[in-house]
Amino acid sequence: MKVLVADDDADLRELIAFTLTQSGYLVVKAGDGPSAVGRFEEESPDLVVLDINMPGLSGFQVCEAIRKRRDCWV
Amino acid sequence: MRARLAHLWSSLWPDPARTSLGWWLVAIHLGLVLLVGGGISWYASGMLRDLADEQGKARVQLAATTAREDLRRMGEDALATARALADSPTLQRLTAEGQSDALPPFLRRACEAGGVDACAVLSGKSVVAVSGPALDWQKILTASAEQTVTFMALPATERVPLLGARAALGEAGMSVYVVRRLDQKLGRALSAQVGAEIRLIDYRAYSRGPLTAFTPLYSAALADGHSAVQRIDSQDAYACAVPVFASSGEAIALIEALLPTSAVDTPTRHLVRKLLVTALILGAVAVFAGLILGELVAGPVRALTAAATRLGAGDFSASIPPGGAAEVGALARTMESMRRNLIDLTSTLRRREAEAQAVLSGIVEGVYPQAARLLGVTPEQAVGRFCGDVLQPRNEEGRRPCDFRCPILQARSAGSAQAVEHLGSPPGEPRTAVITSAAQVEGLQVQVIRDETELEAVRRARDSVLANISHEFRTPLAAQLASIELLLAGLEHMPAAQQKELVTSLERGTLRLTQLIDNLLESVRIESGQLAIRHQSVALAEVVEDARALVRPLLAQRRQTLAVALPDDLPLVAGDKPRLIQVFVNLLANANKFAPEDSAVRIGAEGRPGQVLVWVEDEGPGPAASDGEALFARFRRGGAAEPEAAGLGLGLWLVKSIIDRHSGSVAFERTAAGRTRFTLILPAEDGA
Repeated sequence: MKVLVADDDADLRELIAFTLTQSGYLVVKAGDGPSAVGRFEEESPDLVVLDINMPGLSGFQVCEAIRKRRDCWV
Repeated sequence: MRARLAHLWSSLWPDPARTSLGWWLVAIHLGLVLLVGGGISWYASGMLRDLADEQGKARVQLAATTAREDLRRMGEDALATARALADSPTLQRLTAEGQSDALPPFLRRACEAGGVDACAVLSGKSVVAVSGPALDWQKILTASAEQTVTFMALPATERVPLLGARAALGEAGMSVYVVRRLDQKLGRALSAQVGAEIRLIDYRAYSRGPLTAFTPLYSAALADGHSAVQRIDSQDAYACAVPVFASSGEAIALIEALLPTSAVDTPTRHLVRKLLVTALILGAVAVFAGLILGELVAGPVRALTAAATRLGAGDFSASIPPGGAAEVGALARTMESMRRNLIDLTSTLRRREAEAQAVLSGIVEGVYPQAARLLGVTPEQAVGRFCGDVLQPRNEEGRRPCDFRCPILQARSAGSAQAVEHLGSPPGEPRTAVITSAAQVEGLQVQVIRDETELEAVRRARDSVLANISHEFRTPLAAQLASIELLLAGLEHMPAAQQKELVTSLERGTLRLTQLIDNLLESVRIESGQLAIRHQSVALAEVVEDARALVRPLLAQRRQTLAVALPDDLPLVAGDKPRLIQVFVNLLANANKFAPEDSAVRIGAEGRPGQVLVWVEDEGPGPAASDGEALFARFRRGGAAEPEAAGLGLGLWLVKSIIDRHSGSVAFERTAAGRTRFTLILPAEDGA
């Protein structure tokens, strides 16, 4: 089970990733909108955890881009 | 058919709404007078005719009975004449002497003196002497023998009745006879006496003659025995017949009195005509009176109407004519006071209009530069164009509002003078404007456009700042809470490195919150003018070190290095140390936020006469050069790009505000090496 965590706040991102890793998930991280979309294409995660307010592309825009490619839990 | 009759009937009547009062009065007067006058004339003429009829009948009856009375008197006269003749000694002598030659002349003179037609002396049944016309003496003797001393007879020789009397003459059985003929001559004489035409009709002419128009009258008279009266229209006459009987009861004659109807009718007709003429004259007088009355009533009303029309047209100069009847006078007085009120009112209005005019005349027609700037056009471009083309309001439902409901016109019709319009001019800069329009003066209208875009923007900014502040507080707090929970859960078995990582994360969160709160407090102080800058001698190196200590955990997280290179002989500056530290913390936090990871941040300085230049450089893309001064605006957040960067947009504004209060300046540039540099210029400490 692979999870993509996208958040521009490093502390929050790390905390979420830490928690998820502890729970046994494989975690992929992204620091802004465009990289989140890029990581999604590369890693094809099963679940995406998105922050709304991110530089580059907002969470909604990232979600739109993801939905265009594949149906996925966001 | 019925409808046509109804239409004809209604067309006979004038339309009351269009008929003048005078006309009504005249019509009503004329109608009443004709009704009364005509009625009286008709009734009176009928009564007069009846009266005249009675009078005519009475007149002929009187004439006939008078004529009969005259006849009776004539009989007595004849008897007196006969007796006088018989007593005459001359006649006695002549008869005694038997002078038959001398008798006739004597008798003729006696006849003429007595007014009779014939005189005779008879001896037994033989005639001794006679004068006058030839008569049927046998019939006379027979009648005389059957009747008394006066007698009436119908001679066989002619159809003229005879009236006579006899008297005994002497002892020898002789007698004197006096006779009078009841002929038309006598009728004429009677006519002259009684004032009506009298005819004496022989009974035989009635009983044996042909039927005439008078026959029924005669029959009625004979049946009655006294008289009969009739109006005989075929003869145009009133007629009365009176029978004359001999003392023996034999019918001898009929006395007929005639009066032409014209003698009675003509005065009646004259009277009726006079009545009609009087009625007509009265009618004319009534019409005239109606006209005068109508003029008396309608004249003042007309004058009032004319005055009211003048008032309605706005001419208040002429006063309302008083007069007329009490009601009209009251109306006139009311209108006069109304006119005075109107004059007062209009003069007040005129004064106000003149005042408004005076204000407005100071305004030259056109578009004022401020308005032109707001609308993004030049006054020359705007003048003469449709306001919708100049204002370019934002479309509603795909249409321009002014094409289907102009907000200004709508507001004015609703009794307001203000309307809010969302303008699309100049393009790309939607603006909110409040348009106040004055009333038209000489076809011109002043419209004042107040730009409320800034106000709108402030309102929006306030909302977004509040949302932002909450977000900025919540993010580190959420991270801290999570860290604390993890620490608590893993305190026993968590590796030390991980625990340290979590605590560092807590430290960073606390640092951020502290900086945030410091910035907000400082911003409030600056806004309310409570920021007091102390002027102390401050060494920039210490300031930079303190700031560096505060941001180190942040820099460390992004693996950024900070290289500080300050000349040793850098002069001190006069300033407020904690505030200057805040300046550097903000600049470094910005560099930390916008510069890429693993990059270097540099701080450099340079002493100048009386000034100190100090700069912070990073390898980030920096803000867009076009931002210029706006970069330092309050609540302005990094870059126009969406989504907006995190933060409140207070940092650079605080930097500038604090440096400005140090009489310094702050500037931004891109260095030749492609770095972003913020340079501060601060006044050097005096005497340093």
